[in-house]
Amino acid sequence: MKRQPLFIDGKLNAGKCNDCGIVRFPRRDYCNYCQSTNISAYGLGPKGTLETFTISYMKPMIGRMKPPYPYGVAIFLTDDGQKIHVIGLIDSQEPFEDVKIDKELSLIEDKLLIKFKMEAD
Amino acid sequence: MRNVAVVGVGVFPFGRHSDLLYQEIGVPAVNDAIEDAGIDRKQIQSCYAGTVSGMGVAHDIINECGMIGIPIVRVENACVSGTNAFRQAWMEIASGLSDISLAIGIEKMKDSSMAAQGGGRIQLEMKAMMKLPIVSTFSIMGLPGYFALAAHRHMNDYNTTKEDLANVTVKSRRNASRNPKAEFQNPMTVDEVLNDKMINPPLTRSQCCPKTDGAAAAILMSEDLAKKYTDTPVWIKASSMTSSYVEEQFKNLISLPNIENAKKAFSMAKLEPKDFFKNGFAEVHDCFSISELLHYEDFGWCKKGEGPKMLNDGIPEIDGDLPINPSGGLLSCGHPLGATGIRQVAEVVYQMRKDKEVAKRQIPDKNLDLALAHTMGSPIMGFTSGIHIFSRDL
Repeated sequence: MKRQPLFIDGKLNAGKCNDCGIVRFPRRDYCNYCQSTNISAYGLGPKGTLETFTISYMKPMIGRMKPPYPYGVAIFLTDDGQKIHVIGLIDSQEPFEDVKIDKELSLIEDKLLIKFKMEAD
Repeated sequence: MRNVAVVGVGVFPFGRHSDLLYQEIGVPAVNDAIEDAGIDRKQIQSCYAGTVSGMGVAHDIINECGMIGIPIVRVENACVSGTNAFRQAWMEIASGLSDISLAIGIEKMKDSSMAAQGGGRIQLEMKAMMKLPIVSTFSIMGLPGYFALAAHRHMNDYNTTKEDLANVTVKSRRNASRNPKAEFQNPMTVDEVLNDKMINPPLTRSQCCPKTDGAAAAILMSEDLAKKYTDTPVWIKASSMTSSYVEEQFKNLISLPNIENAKKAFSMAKLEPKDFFKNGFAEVHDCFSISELLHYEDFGWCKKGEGPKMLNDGIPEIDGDLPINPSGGLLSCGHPLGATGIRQVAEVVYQMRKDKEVAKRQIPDKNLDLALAHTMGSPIMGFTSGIHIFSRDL
């Protein structure tokens, strides 16, 4: 098990199985579908869409986020149309009116956190 | 495999028990189950205890109960811990290793942090976790968060309303008002649920199960012995588990991975979801209001998106075609992680037997032939799902 960087060249560091073609994020040593170890780096994003979101009014179990803060699941499409679901924080200010389901977003590069920026309406 | 029956059960009231030790809530549940089964405690040949936080608690309980020398195993699998302890006891008997086995579920949560409930692992790994990208990303999300994400998508895709979600809590509290062992026995209106403190939109506090102290126990037996000790054995027709990896949970939030487990369980019991209508009932893992609606859909009891309609039509009510969570479920009984799975089994047994314990919430006889009990766990760290199916006749 090797620790992988979160981003490579502004894109999420996912892994693509060279045997069955499945893309997984985060990148892991084994493919969960065919158990191959023949995995290559695959960049996801930076554009995606917001599948769903919520706002936390509670402190997180660990981490230093201050409530209320929005986060959501974004879908990033691969070249061959696989939908990869990724959870991340949403960079928005109260009352978070720009955060809407199915809206486009882009990744904000960071070492530790996945953050999404909503595209303008 | 041998046939296995549940013959005795016991539940210590769920709630706040800050002044009581683990064994002080566990021993009464175990003693009640032994008395209920009508056995001598010396006959118990093995013990499995489901608990997330209670290191060594099974040994304390067994020592207090006067049983020495039997195998005692603590089982931890997050919210499925109790279900798994029960499954281990079932495996003991089905395999022929034991003829009588004891399953305990126990947890104290009121006065502990999440870290303590996780056996200290979170605290021990904090330094490493904070440097790990993906884990620190998941750490932004509390447990209600995952289900809030599912709820928002469900609302978007199927026009599910806040009121539809609140109705789950309203039904839960209505049933729990007839359950003296539930933590919350006060009925609530839709407005009261919606105006409660906001946790993760659209989920308010009363749509989230509370952290609770509680214990439950069950005695399982082989077919020969069960027939000797009771006229009303409750047979275990299926015991089924699945797991999934972390990312998979976000793939289809409104179709929780319970779907695969339900298929597995129904197949093992040689049943179909529709067989439960006008014939059975269920205790499902309603950790949040949206969860229960998703389970209706994912277990095949209604079409995707029609969970709210099934509830509004009165189907899951105690006198409906398929009563669900007659006890009040996790939302009202509370959710002491390890205890929940065994408390559900106790509800199934009491209902099928028409026991005085459930006199005020008794499901009509026509719906007592089949029952399903289900828990699911750890949706932010990888997912697990446990299901048992029971029948009144072998």
